[in-house]
Amino acid sequence: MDDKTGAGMNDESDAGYLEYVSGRIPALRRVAFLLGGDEHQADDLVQETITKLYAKWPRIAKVENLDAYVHTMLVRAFLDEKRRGWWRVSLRDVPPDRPTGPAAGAASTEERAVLRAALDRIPARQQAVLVLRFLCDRSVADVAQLLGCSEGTVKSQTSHGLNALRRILGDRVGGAL
Amino acid sequence: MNDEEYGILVLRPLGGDPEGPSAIDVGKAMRDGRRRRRRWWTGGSTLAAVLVAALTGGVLVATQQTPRPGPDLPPDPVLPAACTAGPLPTGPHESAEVSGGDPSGAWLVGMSDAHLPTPPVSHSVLLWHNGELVADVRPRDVRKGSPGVRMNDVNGSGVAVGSDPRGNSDPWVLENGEVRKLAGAPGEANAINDAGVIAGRSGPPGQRRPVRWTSPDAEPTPLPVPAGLGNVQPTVTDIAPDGTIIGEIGGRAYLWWPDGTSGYVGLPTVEGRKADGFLPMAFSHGWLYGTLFLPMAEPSPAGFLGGEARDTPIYRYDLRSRIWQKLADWQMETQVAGTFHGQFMAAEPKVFVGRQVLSLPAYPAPIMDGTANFLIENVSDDARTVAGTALSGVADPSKPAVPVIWRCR
Repeated sequence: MDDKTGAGMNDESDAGYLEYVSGRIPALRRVAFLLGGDEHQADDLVQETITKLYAKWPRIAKVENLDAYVHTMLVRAFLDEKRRGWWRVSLRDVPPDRPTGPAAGAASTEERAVLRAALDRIPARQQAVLVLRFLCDRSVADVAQLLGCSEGTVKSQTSHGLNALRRILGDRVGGAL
Repeated sequence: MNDEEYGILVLRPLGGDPEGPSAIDVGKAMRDGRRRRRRWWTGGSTLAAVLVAALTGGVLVATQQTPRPGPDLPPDPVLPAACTAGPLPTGPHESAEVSGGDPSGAWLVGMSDAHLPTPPVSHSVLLWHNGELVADVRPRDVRKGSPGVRMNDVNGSGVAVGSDPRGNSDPWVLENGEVRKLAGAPGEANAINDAGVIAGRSGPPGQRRPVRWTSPDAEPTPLPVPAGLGNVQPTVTDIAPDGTIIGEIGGRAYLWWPDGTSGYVGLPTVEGRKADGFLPMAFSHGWLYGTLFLPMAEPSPAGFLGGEARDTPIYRYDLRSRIWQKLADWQMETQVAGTFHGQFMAAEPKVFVGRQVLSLPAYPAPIMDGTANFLIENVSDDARTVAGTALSGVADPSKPAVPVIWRCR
C-alpha cells in the first residue's frame, strides 16, 4: 500500500484533476452515449468513471496516454453495467411502433430504436466493439487497447457481432429499413 | 457487402451527441472518489469484504483448485443421445415465453406475449404440466406501469413464484390456479424448492434485503447480511433442495445455510491467478453454476489496465466439498439453464447438463431467415426434459416467441 500520496487532499493534485476532467467530459459523454444509447445511463457512466479516476488520481495522473486509460475505464464501466443487466432480457421493451416499409431520408427515431434494440441483444463486448469501431471510428488496435484484449479478438468479436446483427435484422439493413 | 461496409451502414444511424443537459457533477465525483481512496488505504475493498465475512463467522475457504473425481460429488445425469423439439401450447395467446421449470421437468411456468409492449397487451401467467397448459391466469392488482408478473421458478407441486420484471415489484405466488402477492410486499420472489420454501428479497427498490418465506402463506424472514454494505445491494439467486439459499453480494456468492449460518463462498486461485468475483447463476444438478472473475492471464497491451480487465470462465462449485470445476472458458459459450445473472440468447440451443454440453435441435420458429435465438430456462434432473423459448428478433415484434419443450432420451 503506497501511502506516500497521503489520505489528505492535495491542492495541486486536485487542480490537475479538475483541469484534466473539465476538458474531457463532452468527449466521454459522447462515447458513453454511443455505447448505450441512453443519455441518463451515459451520464451515470461518466460520473462513475471520473469518480474512479479521482480515487486513483494520485497514482495515475502521470500515466502515459491517460486519455486511453480513462476511456478504458469508461468502457469497463459500461461492460460491468451490461453484465449485471443481462439477466432476464427476454421480457424486453420494444419500439412502440412497428417499423413499416422503407423509411426515406436520414435516420428516423424509429430506425434508431430498431437498430438500438437489435444492438442491445448482442453480447455487451461485441456491442462495445461495434460501437467503438463503427461509431467512434477507433482502429482495431485502439479497440484492443481499450478492451484489454488482442487485435485478433477485436476482429473476431466484430465479425460475431455483425453476424448477430444480420440475424436479428434480417434483410432490413443493407436495403432500406 | 463486406463486414466493414455492413458495420458502417448498420451502425451509422445511431451516431450523434446526447441532446439533454449534462447531469455530471465533478464535485460529487471528487467527494465520492475521496471516500474510495480512504477505503483503499484502510486495506482494500476485497480485503474489507473478507474481513466482514470473517467477523460474522461465515467465511468459507476454497480448499481444492483441481477437480477431483470422487464419490462425494453430486452425480451428473447421463447426457441424452437425442432430443426432439416441439412447441408448448399457448392457449389463446399469440406467443409466450418459458420463464422457469421444476427439477423433475414436469412443471413449467411462463408468460404470454412477453415480447409485446405492456400497454396495450397485458400478460398472463402460464403453467404447464407434462407439456399441457393447465393454468392461464391474468394477475390482478398489478402495479401501474408494471409489465406484469414473471414467474421466476416453479416447484414439484406446481407452485410458482415471481416478480414484476421492471420498476417497483411485488413478490408473487401462483398456487391452486390463483396468482396472489406474498406477504411483505413490495419485493420479489426468485426461487422456490420442492419443500415450498421461497427465497427472494423484500423492501422498496434500492433497499431490498434478502428474505425467506418458509411457505407461500408465511411472513418473510430477513436473512442476515454482512455489516457495512453501504450501497451494495445483495441479490438472491436460487434455493437448493435442502433449503440453502444462494445469493450475491458485491460480486461474490453468498450462502445462507439451513442451520442459520451464512457466509461468502471462498474464491479459488486458478493457475496462480486469484479470482476476485463469482457471480452465481443457478443451482442445478447439485452444483452451483456461475461466472468466475479472474485477472487476465496475459498483461493487456495497455500495460496499466492491471486490475480492470477480467477473464470470465464458467465454473461450478459443490457447496459441501467446496470443489470447483471449470466448464467453459467464458461465460457466453454455453447457456446455464434458468440463470439469474448473465442470461443471453444463442443462435444454437445448447446447455450444460451436469458437466457436459447438450446440443439441442433448433426449433424452427417462424422468424427471420429461419434462424432462432434461444433461451434455455430448465433442464430436468434426469436431463430428459429441457424447456426454453425460441425468440424472434426484437426488431420485429410481429414474429411471436415460441415456448419450446425438448424431450430427450
